[in-house]
Amino acid sequence: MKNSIKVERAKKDLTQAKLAKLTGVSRQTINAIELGKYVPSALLALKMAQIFECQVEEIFQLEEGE
Amino acid sequence: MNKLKLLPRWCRYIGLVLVISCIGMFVADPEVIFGELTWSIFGDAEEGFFVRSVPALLDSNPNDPTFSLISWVENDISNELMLTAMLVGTYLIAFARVKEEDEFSHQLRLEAMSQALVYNGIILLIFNWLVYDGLFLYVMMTQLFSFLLLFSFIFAMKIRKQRKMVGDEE
Repeated sequence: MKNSIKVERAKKDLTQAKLAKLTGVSRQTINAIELGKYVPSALLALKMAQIFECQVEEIFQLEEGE
Repeated sequence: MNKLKLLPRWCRYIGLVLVISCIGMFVADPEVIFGELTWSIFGDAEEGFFVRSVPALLDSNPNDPTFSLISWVENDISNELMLTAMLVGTYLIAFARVKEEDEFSHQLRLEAMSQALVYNGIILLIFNWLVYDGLFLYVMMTQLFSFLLLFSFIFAMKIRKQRKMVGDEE
């Protein structure tokens, strides 16, 4: 699953640490999600969508074959 | 959201003290586990210090007329103390919270647990074909806590790798 968290963060001028604080997870978690090493829970994905003021599908997209 | 019920972070340090002191005690005096057959830096000092009267389950012969389910026996409890400390220590390390506990660390826990299960099984299989007779009893004793030790080690390595990855990006 690919994601555009880095882009969305840049739009909102948020660092990984700030986003981690807003979503209540660690910076390692945000980093792992950005790198595609961890697929977040539905709850965390919805929290991120709320912070970035967009739909979950705009942040997370399925890759071909998934 | 479902949260894992874990022990407070300070439990990890108590666990580390228990496990390290157990390993240190074993290295310094293998007699605690292996009896009189091994070398000890303590020599023959403190012989019988840990010999205490303890309750024993099914210790006497069932055919004996004086048979009782529980009897009191004289036993060197040093190995019992050591195994208790080792078991409690490994549980404290394995189930203590990490600094930043969240869903990603839960995922890492799960991965570490499944890897530890596989590696522990491989180790047991290897020893099964290399160690025989009475010595295999010690392999079985080690298996009581080796899974938790392996799990704690793999989990700590995973957490460390993630922290390093974030640190490198700064």
